Amino acid sequence: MRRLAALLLIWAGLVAGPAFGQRLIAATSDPEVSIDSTFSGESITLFGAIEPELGASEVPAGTYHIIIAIRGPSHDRVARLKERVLGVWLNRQQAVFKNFPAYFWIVSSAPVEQITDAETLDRELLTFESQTRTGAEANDSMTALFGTELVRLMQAKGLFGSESRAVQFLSDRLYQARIDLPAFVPNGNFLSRTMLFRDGELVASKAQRFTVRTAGLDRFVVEASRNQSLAYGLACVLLALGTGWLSGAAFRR
Amino acid sequence: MQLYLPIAELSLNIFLLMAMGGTVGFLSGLFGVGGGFLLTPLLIFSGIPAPVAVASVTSQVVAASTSGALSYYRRGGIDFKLALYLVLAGIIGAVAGVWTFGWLQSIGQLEVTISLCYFVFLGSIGAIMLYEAARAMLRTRAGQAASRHLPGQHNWMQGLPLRIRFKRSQLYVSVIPVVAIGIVIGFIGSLLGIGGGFMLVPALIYLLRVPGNVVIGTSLLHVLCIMAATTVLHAVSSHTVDIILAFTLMIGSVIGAQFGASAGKRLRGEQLRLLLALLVLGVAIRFAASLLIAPADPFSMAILAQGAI
Repeated sequence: MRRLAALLLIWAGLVAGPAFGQRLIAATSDPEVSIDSTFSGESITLFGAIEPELGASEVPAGTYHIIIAIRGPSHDRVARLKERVLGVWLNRQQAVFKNFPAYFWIVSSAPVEQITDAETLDRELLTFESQTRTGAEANDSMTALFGTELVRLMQAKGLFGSESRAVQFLSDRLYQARIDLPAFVPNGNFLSRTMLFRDGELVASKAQRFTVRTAGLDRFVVEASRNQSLAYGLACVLLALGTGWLSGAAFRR
Repeated sequence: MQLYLPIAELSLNIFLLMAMGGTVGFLSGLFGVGGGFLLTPLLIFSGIPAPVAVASVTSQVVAASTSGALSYYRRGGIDFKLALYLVLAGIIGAVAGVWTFGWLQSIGQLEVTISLCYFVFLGSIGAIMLYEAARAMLRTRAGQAASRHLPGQHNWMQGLPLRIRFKRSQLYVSVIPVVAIGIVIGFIGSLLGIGGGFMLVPALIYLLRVPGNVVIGTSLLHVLCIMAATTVLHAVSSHTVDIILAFTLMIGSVIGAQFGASAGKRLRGEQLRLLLALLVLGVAIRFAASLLIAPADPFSMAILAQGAI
C-alpha cells in the first residue's frame, strides 16, 4: 500500500515538469528491513522514476537503462589456498582483502554488458572484480587469482550475484526492482547505488541506504555471542550444568 | 526438521543432531568415557566448522559429566584437594590451549591441526586399546584368568620434591606431576574439544597411584571444571560456542547415556573394550583420509575482522 502511494506521488511529480535533461528519483520500500524467517529471507523493493531536469519539460529521447548495485557491510576477508605438504593438505598461500563487502549484488534492466562498455562498468565499480581490487593488500597476479576465487566462493554462497532482468520499467519513466535478501545476509548498513544510462552513457545516479536486521532467536544468539560474550559463555555453562543435573535427578533410581 | 545453528551458520536435521548426541551419550554410558573425542569428530564430519564443533562440544561435556560427578560426590568418591590442584593447573593449560586455538585460527591452520592431533591421538590410543583388548580376549580363550596389572608401589615420581599430602586419596606425592598432568590435559582438552577423562584416569592411576574409589569421581570433577572454564574462554576469545547446537547435543547425550549405562551391565568387559578400540581407530582413519585426500575445493575464505562500511 505504502509503495503504491509513493509511486503515485512520484508519478504526480513527474507529470508537472517543463523542458530538457533528466534526473533520477529513487526510493526503497523499507529503510529498515527485518528478516524474521530463518529459511525464506526477505525482499526489498527499490523503485523510482526518471524525471526531466528542473526547468525542463521532457526527458531527452534515447534508450534508458538502469543498473543498481547493492553493497552490504564489509569485513576484512581472507582467501586461502590448500596445497599438499608431505602428503597432507593444508592452507599455504593467502590473500587479504580489506573492507570486502559481505554482500554485493548487481541488478539491471538488461545484461550489463549490453547497457554500457566494460570500461564504464569497471570505473563505476559495477563488476565483481572491482570489489576485490579496492582493498587488496598487494597488486599482483596472485592477488588477482585469489580475488577471482573469493568472488566465486561468495557467489556460491549467494552473497554475490547479478540479475539482468530484475529492474523492470513499469512505464517509460517508472522503474522498480525487487531484491531478495537471503536469510543469512549479514546485518548492517546497505548502500544501493542506482545508475541511469542513456544510450550507454551514465547520465544520473542516486545512492540510498537501508539497514538489514535479522530478528528472532538466531540473531539474538549471534549478537549475544559477539557483544556479551562473557555472559553468553556463562549462560552456556549454566545451561549445561542444569541439563546435567536435571538428567541426573530424573534418571536416578 | 531442519534446525538452524546460528554460530555454525548452517542448518542440520534436528533428529540427526539428537541421534549423534544420543549415540555418543550411549557409548559414553557404555564405556564410561566422556564422549567428547567421538562427538567432536562426528560434528566435523557432518560439515560443522571445526572451531564451532570443538567449542560447542566443550559445553556439552560439562552437561555429560555433571550427573556423574554429582553421583560420585554423594558416594564420597571425590578427592577435593587433589581436584583443586588439578583444576588450577588445568585452567592454566586451558588458557594456553584457547590462546593457541585462536592463534591457529588466525593463521588458517586450525582445521588441519585439529585433524592431525585427532589422528595421532586416536590412532595411538586405539592401537594400544586394540592390542590390550585382543590380548585379554586371547588369554580368556586360553583358559587363563586375566591377570590384572597392578601398579607397583613406587616409581620415580615419588622422589620429586614439593610433596603434598592428599588425605582422601591416602597419597603423599610431589605436586609437580599433579600440576603437569593438569596442564597437559587442560591444554589438549581445550584445543580438541575433549574432556580428557580417558587420558586422566590412566594418568591418575598409573602415575600418581590414586586409589580406584576416588579416581573416577575426581577425574569427572576435573573434566567438569576444566570444560566449564574452557567454554567461557572459547566464548570470550573466539565466539565459536553455538548454544543451540550444544543444547541439542546435551539433550541427546544425557538420554543416550542412561541407555548406555544399563546396556553396559549386560556386556562383557573385553568385548566392550575391543568395540571401543575399533571405533576409535575408525575415527582416526577417517581423519587421516580428510588430511590426505585432495579437497573438493582447494580455496576457502574466512572473515578476519569487522570492517567499516
